[in-house]
Amino acid sequence: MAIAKVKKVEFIASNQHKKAILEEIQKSGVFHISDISDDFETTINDNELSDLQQSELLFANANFAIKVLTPYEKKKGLFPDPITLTEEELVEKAKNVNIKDITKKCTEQEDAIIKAKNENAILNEELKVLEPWKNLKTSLKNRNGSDNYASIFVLIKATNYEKVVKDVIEITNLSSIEKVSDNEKDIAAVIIFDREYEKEIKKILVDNKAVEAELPETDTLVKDYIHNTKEKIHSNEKQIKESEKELEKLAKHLDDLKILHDYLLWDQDKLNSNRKIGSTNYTFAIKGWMPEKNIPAFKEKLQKISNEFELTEITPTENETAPVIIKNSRVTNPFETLTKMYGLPKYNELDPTPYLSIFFVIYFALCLTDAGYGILMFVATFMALKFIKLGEGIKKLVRLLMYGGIFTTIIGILFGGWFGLTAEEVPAFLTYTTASGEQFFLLQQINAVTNPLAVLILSLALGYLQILVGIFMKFIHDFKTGNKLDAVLDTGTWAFMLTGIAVFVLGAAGVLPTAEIGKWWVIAGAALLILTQGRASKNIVGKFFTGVLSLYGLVGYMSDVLSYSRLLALGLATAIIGLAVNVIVNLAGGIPYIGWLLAAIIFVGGHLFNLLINTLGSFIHSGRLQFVEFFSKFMEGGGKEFTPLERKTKYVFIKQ
Amino acid sequence: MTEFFAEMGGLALAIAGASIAVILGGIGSSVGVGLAGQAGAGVVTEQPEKFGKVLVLEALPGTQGIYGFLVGFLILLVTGILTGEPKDLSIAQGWQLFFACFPAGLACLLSGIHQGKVTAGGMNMVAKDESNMGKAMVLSAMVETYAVLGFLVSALLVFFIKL
Repeated sequence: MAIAKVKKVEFIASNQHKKAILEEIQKSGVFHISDISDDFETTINDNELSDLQQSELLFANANFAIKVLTPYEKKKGLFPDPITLTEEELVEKAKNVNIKDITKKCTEQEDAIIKAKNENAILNEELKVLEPWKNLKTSLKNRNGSDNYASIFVLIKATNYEKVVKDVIEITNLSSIEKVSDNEKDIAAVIIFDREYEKEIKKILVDNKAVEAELPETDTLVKDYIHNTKEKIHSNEKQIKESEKELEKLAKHLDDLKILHDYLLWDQDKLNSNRKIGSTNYTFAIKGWMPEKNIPAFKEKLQKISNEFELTEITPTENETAPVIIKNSRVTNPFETLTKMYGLPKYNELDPTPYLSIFFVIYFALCLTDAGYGILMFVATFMALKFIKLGEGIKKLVRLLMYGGIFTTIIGILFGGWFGLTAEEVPAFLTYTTASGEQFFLLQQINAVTNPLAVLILSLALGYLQILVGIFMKFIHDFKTGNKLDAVLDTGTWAFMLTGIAVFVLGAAGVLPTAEIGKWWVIAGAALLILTQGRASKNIVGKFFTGVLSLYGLVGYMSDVLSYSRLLALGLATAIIGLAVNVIVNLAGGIPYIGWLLAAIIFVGGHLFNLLINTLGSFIHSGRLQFVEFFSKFMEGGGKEFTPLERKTKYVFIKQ
Repeated sequence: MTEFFAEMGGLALAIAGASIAVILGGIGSSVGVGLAGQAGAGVVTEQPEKFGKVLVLEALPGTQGIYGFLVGFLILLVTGILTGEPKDLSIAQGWQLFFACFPAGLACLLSGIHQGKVTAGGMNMVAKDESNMGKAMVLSAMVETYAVLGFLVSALLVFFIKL
């Protein structure tokens, strides 16, 4: 329901039990260890450091193997069951994993694949170069010629070929150009000529943008060489396939690897916490925080290991702030997601979670206002909770959305939102006619599209109520925990004033029988504010003007209230997009033959789109109203989270 | 001038308004989603597992285009263009609908672009630490407020202008 009480504690014990005690601390997961390494010369000894390095090495291996093997894992359905074990089973299994062997095999096969792939890339490139020369009648052995004559293998642009031939013959008659192959673009040719003219001929080639081919020096014919290369590529491909098969076999160990990964994660967290612990030759000391209610049970567990320890509560120093744990009932704990999104309250502040919960779901529902969407959302989230195993964080979010679905359904029914349909479009037995002659869905009370002003007033009223609640929360909290006089004069006066305004407005609107009471209440409230808000000023004039100026605070509250008009806007947006989808559906339905199919597709797709985009918007904007408009009234936030040394897992679900 | 508008008629003015709302909102969101998407592509290159979160963030500046579209749609609806029997609007009514489109159009244009910039910044937050997702979304939603308000006024105007 609130922020749990935590105590600062100091723990001293003999070094000989250090390992076992740390293990126990991690197992119970109730000790938030503070860093006191600055006060000690030794914090982590050589043994622990080598243990840690060993653990880190194994962890890196496990991570590597998981990364390599994951693509080769056989998929087990869309939502595979996660690995579920008790802590003891996890430790037991983790010890039996032969990580060295698996890592070695993974590395071998992975290397083989990479080597084969790289080789094939090079070979394929070579094939491309050789392709134009495959009809060459001679081998490539003396492809550069001898002292007397030179030969050049060259690719010449088809358009330039005639010119090259002419130019070469002009230079020397003792030359020959032999076409090896030609396609539309390039002609492959061998030019043989007297060594003497090498420079001139090469210049001709450069001038005509002919490219010398870089061919391998071999005894065989090009045709045979190509054949050999292709065979090599083929055998490499076979090698890749074999290695992949091996990896697929190894992928059966993935579950074991994941178990080991999580075990090593614990191990490292535990070993790393040695860095925060102070130790001397014979003893070690831990300082930190524990929830008050967990201390006795924790002591009992430690006594099973050894009696030689000292666990004392100490008073924190002035500038130390306790880490924060927020505890809420099963019903409201999904809303902790929102509180954590903003950041935790300070240790001495209120936990806003239970207070924001009801406002949040109502706002969320008002932003969607469609019973059809509400039911869809409820069914989807309910099924997900029932049939899919989800992590803690996600589970909370899904539960939150399930609450949202329920409230959206209720508010959707009251507002007559059913997939953006109008009451005229559905069978008559589902509707009724109101006193003013409007056609409504059964149970519908208001039509937001024809009567948006009523919804606007509702939104603003909800906003006013929430801000009032916020101020009263601050008042009560300050009154209980702080200086009572300051609480009354600072916050109490505003609570009085704002309640007065509400009474006045309700009176003026005719909800209450008279506005007279409210009027005098507001005047009294204003006078009170003028008298009290300037009390810190030194002279009487200063007191008066600061008091008068404080009334300006009203503008701030009013702008906060106006911010709630977004509830109407977002609700309208959902309704109108739904309406637009239905209009398009009707248009599509008019197309002959395939009209009904198109209409069905557009109906489903359009409404799903509307649901998704507006759920996102509703969530964010309802959240923002809490963070910006509500929280600012009673909390600063910025609390440090209570992060005990505990057994965290990434892949494995721990069964209790 | 008067002759020109008389020739044009009220309906054309209303259509011009609808076009402006849709176009300005569309530009705002296109630029905004574009900015966010570029930043997001960078994040996904390095950390492909964050694609889902990046996609959600990228969608945030997309709502301005929807608000603009909705105002345009409302105009089509109230003027009867959608039902195939357009109402005979006076020039004055045409102007009223025309101006009713500006709050949504202009607010969506600018807020879409700026929301895109804030969201692009939010992408960096998510790149560094996934748990910043909520904070990034809220920061981005702050900019959207003014598009929502613009849309609200435009929608109310279109509803309540007597035709």
